[in-house]
Amino acid sequence: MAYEELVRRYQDVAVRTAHLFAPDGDAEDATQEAFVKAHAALARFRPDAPFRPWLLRIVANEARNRRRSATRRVGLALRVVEDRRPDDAAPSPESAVLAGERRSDLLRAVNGLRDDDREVIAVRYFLDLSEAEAAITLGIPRGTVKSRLSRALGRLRERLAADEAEQ
Amino acid sequence: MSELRRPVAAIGDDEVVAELRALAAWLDAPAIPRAGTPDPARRARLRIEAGEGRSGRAWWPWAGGTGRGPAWRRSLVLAVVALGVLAAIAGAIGFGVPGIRIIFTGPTPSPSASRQASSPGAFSPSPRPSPTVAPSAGPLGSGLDLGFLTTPSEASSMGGFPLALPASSSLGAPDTTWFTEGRVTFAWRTQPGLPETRAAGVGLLLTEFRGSVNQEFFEKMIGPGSTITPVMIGDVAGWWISGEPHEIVYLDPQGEIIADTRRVAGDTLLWTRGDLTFRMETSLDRGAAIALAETIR
Repeated sequence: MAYEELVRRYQDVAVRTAHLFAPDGDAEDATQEAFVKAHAALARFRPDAPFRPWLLRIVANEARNRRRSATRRVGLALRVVEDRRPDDAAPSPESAVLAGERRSDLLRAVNGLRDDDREVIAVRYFLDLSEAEAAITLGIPRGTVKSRLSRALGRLRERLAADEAEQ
Repeated sequence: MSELRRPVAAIGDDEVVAELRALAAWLDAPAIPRAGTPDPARRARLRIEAGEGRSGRAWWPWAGGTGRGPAWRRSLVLAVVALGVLAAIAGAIGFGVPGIRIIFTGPTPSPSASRQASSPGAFSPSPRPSPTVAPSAGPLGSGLDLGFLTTPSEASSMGGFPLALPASSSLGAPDTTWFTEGRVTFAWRTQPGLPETRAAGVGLLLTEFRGSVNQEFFEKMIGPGSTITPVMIGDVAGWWISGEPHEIVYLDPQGEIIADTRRVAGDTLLWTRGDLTFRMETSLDRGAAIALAETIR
């Protein structure tokens, strides 16, 4: 089935997207559900449009729905992998210089952001989507991606500064 | 990394962005697929082929994924087909399409009352996990409507196909072999690593028969408390059916309806390899059941 092969090409980024949007949801299950929904919505997909962000938008919405339906928000946070397994790819030199303490400060600040701020940071910097792809994935205009990102970075800096003041 | 510990007020947005990008490599991410399950793309495909466009939980027809028409319309058509099949079964009318239908009848379909009355020691419909088939006098599997007691070689010759058995050496040879209407069933006694099913003393049932799971005509009705999950057994697709008791109705190679009225003793793994269909009932969890099924040769 061609569709299975098609979506498998985006499976890794889809699962990561689901996980970023709902860290304590079942990312794999959300991805599967999104793939089924995307298939049902294929008629509405414009062939000249990029497929990846269109698919990721459905994944993101599915994950958001699961996040909203979660009765408790405790533990709804991204985590860092402190002990990387041997089979994991070694972090790039740039990420290696990000010291452990700084990582956890940064992550705490990201986790403390409002959902829309965290989402725009996640799609642009964690998933490395372009501004155009981020706009489609988040379902907002490109200009809004820009302004939301700038606002999110501002709030992130405020949180980091507040953390520093406490230490 | 003293320069990275500079106050955030002293660094530019570019540096914060660089740190965020670097952080991405350290974020935990779910490993896919989970052991013993197909990946999301395969599971989505199985669901799409099953005609599921919207996730109706009350009942849920399975059929081919040729992509014709909107999913809701295919589901509706299948719903009608399924009802027709039920009517056909009720009226004992033939339905000439090879394949398998799983009909979840929920606890205790009404016909079983008479069977129970006439068959002491037959399955009784209490909820799990307590074994509800009384240990019956007689060979292992007695009282489960498995047919008549035979030997593996006789069963193979009556069934007209070579029998396949788990290669697991710890399991050992089956304790009993049964045959009815083209179906061979092996029964294993409870043993360490093989917990008891709902049938007292029975640790594992493996049924084999000729027939194929034709996804174009594979439908199911699911009752409350039953779940059916597409799984992979090695490289073939199968289904894991857990929850309330169900019955399986299938069509033999001649297109005759065979209602497998025997009582369900445990969670069921159902798959087809070549022209044989396998049905395994067990109290093992799904992963262990699949691992065992993959050793069947």
